[in-house]
Amino acid sequence: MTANENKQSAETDSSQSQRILVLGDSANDFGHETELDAAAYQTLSVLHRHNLDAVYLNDNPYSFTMDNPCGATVVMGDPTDLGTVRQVIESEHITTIIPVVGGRDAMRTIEELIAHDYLDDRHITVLGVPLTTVRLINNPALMNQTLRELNEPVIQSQVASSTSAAFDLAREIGFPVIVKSVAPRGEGDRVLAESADQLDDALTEAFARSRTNQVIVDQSIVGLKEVSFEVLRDARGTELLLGALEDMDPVGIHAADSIEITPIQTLTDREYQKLRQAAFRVARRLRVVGLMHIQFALDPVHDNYFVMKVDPYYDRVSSLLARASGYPIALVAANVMLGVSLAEVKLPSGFAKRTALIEPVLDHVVVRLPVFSFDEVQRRGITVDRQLTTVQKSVGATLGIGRSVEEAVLKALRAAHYHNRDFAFNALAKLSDNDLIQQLIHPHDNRIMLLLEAIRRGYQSDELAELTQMDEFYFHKLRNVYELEVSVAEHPGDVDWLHRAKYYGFSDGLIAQLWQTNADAVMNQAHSAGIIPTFKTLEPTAGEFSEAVPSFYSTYELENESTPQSGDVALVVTTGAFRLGDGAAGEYVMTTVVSELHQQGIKTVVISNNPNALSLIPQLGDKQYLEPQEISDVLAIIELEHPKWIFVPGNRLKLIGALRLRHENVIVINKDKAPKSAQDGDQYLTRVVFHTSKIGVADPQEIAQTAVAHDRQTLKASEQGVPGIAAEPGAMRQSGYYQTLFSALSGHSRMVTTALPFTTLALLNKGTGINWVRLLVRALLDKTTTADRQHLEQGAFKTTTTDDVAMIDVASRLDLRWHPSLPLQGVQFKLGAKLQVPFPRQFVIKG
Amino acid sequence: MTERYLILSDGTTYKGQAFGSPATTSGNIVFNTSVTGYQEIITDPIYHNQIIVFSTPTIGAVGVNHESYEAILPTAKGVVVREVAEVSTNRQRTLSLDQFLRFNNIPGISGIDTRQLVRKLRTHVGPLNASIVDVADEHAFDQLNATVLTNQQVAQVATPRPYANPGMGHNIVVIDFGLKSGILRELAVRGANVTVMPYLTSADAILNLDPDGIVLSSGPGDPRNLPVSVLTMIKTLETRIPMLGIGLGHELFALANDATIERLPVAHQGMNHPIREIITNRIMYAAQAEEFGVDRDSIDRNQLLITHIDLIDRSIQGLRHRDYPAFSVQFFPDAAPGPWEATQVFDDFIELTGTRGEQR
Repeated sequence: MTANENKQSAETDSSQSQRILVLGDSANDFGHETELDAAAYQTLSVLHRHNLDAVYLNDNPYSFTMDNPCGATVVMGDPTDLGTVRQVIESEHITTIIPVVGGRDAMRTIEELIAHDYLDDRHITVLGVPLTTVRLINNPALMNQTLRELNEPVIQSQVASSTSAAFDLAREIGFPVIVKSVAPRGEGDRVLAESADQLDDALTEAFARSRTNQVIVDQSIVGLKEVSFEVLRDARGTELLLGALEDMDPVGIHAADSIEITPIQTLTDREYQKLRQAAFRVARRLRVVGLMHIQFALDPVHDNYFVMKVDPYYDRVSSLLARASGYPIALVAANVMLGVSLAEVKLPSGFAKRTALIEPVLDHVVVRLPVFSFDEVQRRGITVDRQLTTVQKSVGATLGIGRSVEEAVLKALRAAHYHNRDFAFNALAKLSDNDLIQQLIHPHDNRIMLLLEAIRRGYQSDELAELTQMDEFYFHKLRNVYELEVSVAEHPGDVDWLHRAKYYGFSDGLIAQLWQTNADAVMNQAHSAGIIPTFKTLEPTAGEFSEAVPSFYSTYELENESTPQSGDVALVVTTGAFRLGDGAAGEYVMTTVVSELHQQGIKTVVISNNPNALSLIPQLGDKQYLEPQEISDVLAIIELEHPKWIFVPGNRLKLIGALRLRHENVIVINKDKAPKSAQDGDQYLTRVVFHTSKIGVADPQEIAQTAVAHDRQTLKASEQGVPGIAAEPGAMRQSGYYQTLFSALSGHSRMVTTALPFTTLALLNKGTGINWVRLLVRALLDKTTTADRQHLEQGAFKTTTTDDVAMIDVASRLDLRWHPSLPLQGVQFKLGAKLQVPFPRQFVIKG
Repeated sequence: MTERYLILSDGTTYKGQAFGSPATTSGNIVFNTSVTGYQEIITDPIYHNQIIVFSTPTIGAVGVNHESYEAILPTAKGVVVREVAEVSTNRQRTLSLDQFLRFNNIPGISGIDTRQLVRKLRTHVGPLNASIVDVADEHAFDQLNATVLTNQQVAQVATPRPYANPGMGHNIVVIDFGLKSGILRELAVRGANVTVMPYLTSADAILNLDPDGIVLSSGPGDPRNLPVSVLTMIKTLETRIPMLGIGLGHELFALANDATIERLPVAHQGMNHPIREIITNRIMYAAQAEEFGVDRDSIDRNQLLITHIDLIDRSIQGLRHRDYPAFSVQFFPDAAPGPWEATQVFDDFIELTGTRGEQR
């Protein structure tokens, strides 16, 4: 144990005077969904259990943790702003900072604090990563030097301070090269340049983004195999491997845009163990106390590898592996960070003893499929550059879990395409041969469908492997899918083929396409033939121990491990993969629904397939299914769990319709996609109306006038009040929140009534300090409290401080990533938002 | 695709698809939770007479390569898995798993609910036999129930004749109880001049080779079924020459020093259990394949020290003699397959033999 680690664990013992600042995740963006919020919640719950005094700083309007801080003090303010952080450190008497659930931005904040000697001067410690390591991860050149000292192979890489120096380096290394910024603002991008022209463009962008006006020119290793390992290391130096995943796509496509698979399929034990050892060496050198994600490029031909990236904090991969293995990564990492050894970590009941020390092993296959949302933009007549590169273009992801690669891939695809628009085996039949080859070499977002189409047109596995630089193994797997498709199509109505198709992950809908019938007919046939899904536990020991993790996936085998719960059960279909717009807001609302149901003593069952989902925080609910959300998937779970209620977000029209035919208690959490005010640039005033027949409000009742707008100007205008006009009742078919929009310019004439967007509902919660989502759930359950009535009657909005909280959308650099033919404006193209307050202030939400 | 059946001596039948050899087979059924290293596992002689259930859903994707054989001829009786990748693609491969199993007359069966099977095996007390057959009828069960598996597995797999694996360093004698190549590889990396001896060799014959150190290899089966002469040999040698016991060799070392061996309620085969080295408090991971263990209460603390324990099932994972330079580990430190951190054991052993060299 090093001196620094000693110091860290010693200080956690003297908890009386300690006050820990946990940096929040701030606005959602590319590569930043709700995984950090979920990790922050679990971290705060661990601090609470250790009786530690904590402060959580965040300005993300969709933060569940800000509403539910497990006893911590919440400060509403920008955790990425140095001034704000310093102000909070001083006013809250902070002694310790936890940056690892705040993503890369939090690491940068720490680095800036170090640079100003601020932490040393105030004797503030940082948990999770030593300060020297914080500097390393923000400076690729320093990191490379450190890795070289460890004899870890790193890519030939040099720093340039001018365009001409960068060109000299590129010539020396030889094209293609990768360009990235030193100390970038926001997420660091790696841009591939294959020619001088491309280099010129890449340099302009990279210099502009560097805070030190420096760029790094790297040797390109495009085409190698890309794998990630996740290490957990405690203060005593015990290291364990939480898991590893391989990218189906080679180096050259951003890992988040790659199809990822765990456990690793195409490495020998020797290759695997070599990388495991390297990962441990790096974690040791960086003196990580907690999580570390390390990405390698592997060259199997020359038995060689390169370290590509080291992230010693919670990220997308941590979240994916936690979902995949059932190992409670965030909980254990938080304990470890506090100095608790892995041998001493106490896990929630249900886990076998000392599971924290077991290296998770899987007996299932997990595929993470990126979701791109290009179609949403193209439907508006705007074209985008769909080619996948080193810059992330995907906005979300789905998980497919099964007992074979085929099943996992198909389930991930189904989860990504719940509209069933573009997921048909013949989806690409019209693509020209030339385009097909082009897209094999320069992949687009439709990767799997394209490869299936290529197989259909007779490409051999070795040819495809050469064109795509993907491992041949995957073409054999996809060939299985193709051959099965052909056989199934040739045997309409055949039960054996039906069983086999379901065994490998074909949905009722897909089989119906092949048999030219409808999904209901297939479902009924499967049902009467006794072909029903069996649910298996997602646990970290591959069946060796009895681990009662209440998390399941379906397959078609012998044993079902999921048994119905006693008492009233509510099934909650949560958001699924994020697309453009309000994914994070949707997760926030649906997770709050789950949490409230659970608090009301109702057994909750969540269905999700988003690896970063907030609603999959294990402690929040009773049971989780990581499944696609097609009607047949949901019905299979209904059949098992017999829910009394089914909660569905309002945009799932097809699912809602199908469920309502079969279940009497389908409760829709209503929403509109985006606030009108921001959609067309006009100025609107908004009135929010709460409507429910359950608490005896016959006419929709106005609960307040509020300022839910996306800029301060509108906010000011609304303070002047809007004449009371009741919204037309016909527009409000179900219980929930509605907005009536008035044009600010045309004398408040009534415009339109729509469901309240989730983004606005989130702002209402944060702005008023009243949890309107929880209130709605209670109303729906006939459990309205006196306080709820008071809030409604008083027009509670007026009594609160809404007026000084605004929500600003955060630019997601969509233009730079997607190169759209027209500028993408409007809130529906934004991935995240920030709360804006005049000064950081404590935040408490009621209800 | 040919349908075949896996039948268990408790009467259970599983339907699956054939791969590998079309032969009918019977053996003791065990499960292994390792995610990588199927070639090393299938070729390890400890699986003599055993049908191996892999809990990892797919095996075969990296084929079979030169560097991952643990024995020239595999002696496992069968392979059970959910999916087998029928074509191997790793660039190091020489054969596909299917071809390899055919050449070696080992049947495989895929399409099995291996998770259900593992959960069954984990709760089943005592060993269970199984067959892979074409027809799961009464006859097949009769055959299975009539099957008597030899308890002399070591005799089946260990070398009958001495052979050399020359090197320029320490003179090491490896006593073969079902040696896996990983042990030889680790000794070779450390430059050892190795002579592999049959396990029925006398202590005198071994001493005549003037070894700097002796390795008692891993191997299959119950150590109590070996002749007493083996224990006598170990007792004689441990007082004179530095000694390392691995796996079965560790169990024999314990028996020779008056400890008793018991069958574990559930066999553990995998590479994800934390093992604590008591003296350093270091936790490491290593491949394990254990059906038997040293009974903690039987250990004479005046003779033996416990050096390693498994933190999950608390089993004894390492012993050291108080008076002699002799120690042993239950786990597989040769990392073939498995994590590399346990190879430290070989460094410790070579260091110990060096001490003797100096005294000589």
